[in-house]
Amino acid sequence: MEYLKHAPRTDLHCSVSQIRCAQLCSKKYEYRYVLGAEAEHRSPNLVLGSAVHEALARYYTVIRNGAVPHPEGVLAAYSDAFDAEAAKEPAVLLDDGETLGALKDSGVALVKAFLGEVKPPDKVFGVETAFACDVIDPDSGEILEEQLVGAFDAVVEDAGKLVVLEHKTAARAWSADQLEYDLQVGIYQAVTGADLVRLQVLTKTKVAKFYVHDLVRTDAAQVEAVSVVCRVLKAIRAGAFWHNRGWQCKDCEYRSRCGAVPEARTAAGDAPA
Amino acid sequence: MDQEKLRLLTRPFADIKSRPGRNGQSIQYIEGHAVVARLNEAFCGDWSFRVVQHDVREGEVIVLGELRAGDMVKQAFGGSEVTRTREGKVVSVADDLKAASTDALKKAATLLGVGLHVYAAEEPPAQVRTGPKLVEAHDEPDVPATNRLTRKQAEFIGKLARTAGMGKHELDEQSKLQFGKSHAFLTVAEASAFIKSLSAAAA
Repeated sequence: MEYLKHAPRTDLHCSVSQIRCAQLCSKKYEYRYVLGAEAEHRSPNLVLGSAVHEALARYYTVIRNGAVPHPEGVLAAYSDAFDAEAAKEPAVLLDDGETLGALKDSGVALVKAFLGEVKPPDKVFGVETAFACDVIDPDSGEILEEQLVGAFDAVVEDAGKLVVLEHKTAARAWSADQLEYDLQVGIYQAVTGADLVRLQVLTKTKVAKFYVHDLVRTDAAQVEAVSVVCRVLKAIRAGAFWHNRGWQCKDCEYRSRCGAVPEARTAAGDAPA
Repeated sequence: MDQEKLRLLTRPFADIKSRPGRNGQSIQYIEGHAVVARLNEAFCGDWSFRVVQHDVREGEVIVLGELRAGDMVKQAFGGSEVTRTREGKVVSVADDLKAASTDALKKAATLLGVGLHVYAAEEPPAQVRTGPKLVEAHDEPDVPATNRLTRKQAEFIGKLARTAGMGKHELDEQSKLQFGKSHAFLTVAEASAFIKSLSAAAA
């Protein structure tokens, strides 16, 4: 991909998750990254997702080291990671009736669903593989000051193909539109030149489920993804931050600060006075 | 100057005013009484200010002021337009001189770090790179007011911080203290001011 050039990491950078944060709500981006505001709480989804990621990283690390992963070891990695995440400050914001124990159990179900259905790849090249790229604006040819950085959950070979693995925990199965348009997939394919990006989604449904989506983006879609990154970075550079009220406000770590506390809303969903 | 005084002096102001400036731009400023209150807070009232020189010209008055606090002496110029009635009659040179004195005091106080974050944001970069040629900043109307720092500035700030033994968290806290935001999101001008203060601290 001619618009993302691998380069040594510099002090001015932005990750794909930061770009997604800015897309979802640029005001949240401002609070978190620009102002460095303290979070009011920790999202249970973040705690659960981080711990599940850790467990899956253990699974692929064991394979990379030439051994066979034991379910007990992977589950122990999850348990340790969850406990460590849950102990961090600020406290986890739980829903009414929800407990940390129940949250932890739901993660155990996710890891078990993964272990029960995942097919080990032929070869694991890397786990949590970091990258840094200079970004070239496809529309102007300008090299942006900010680099794009990140880490692939795993890079593997499967059936003779170079595959980037990305793990997601979600409330429900990803929709066709999500799979079609997810920004990260296009970026990751552009960065690596991989044959495909394999999205492995674990859903926190009543019965935990494991979905595998092999996704391929066209060249045009990859260029569009880079262009989106450029536009977002330029908006950040220009200091354009605005509120984007919606479902994302419920668990937002800055909801009091920006006046989006759900309890302050009426039953009809009116904005607070 | 001890760290506590520096922290008090450089603490960002919540009440920042703005007024129209040249070329349709908006200029941010801090009122004189807020600067006086900040100096009183930091030095417990033990500071002084005097006008060293003043000059009344056709259209403006100019004042050279001197601020003393402890063993520190800072001088700065201040100015004010001569206020006239519609008929062109001078209203009060004394009031204009008072305004110029306040301006000099505020400018001198910035040398101690008071309101530096506001004035840093007002100073345009000397030159802005746009494609292959270099142009003066005021010739480039598309440069956003919050022009984010460059990669080189970010790297230099990181280098200065490492030299001073500061970690990323400490660096961001210092940046937030002085400018109200993380160091990676300073403007070009703010980054320049931050580099100066980090260099001064290192020296």
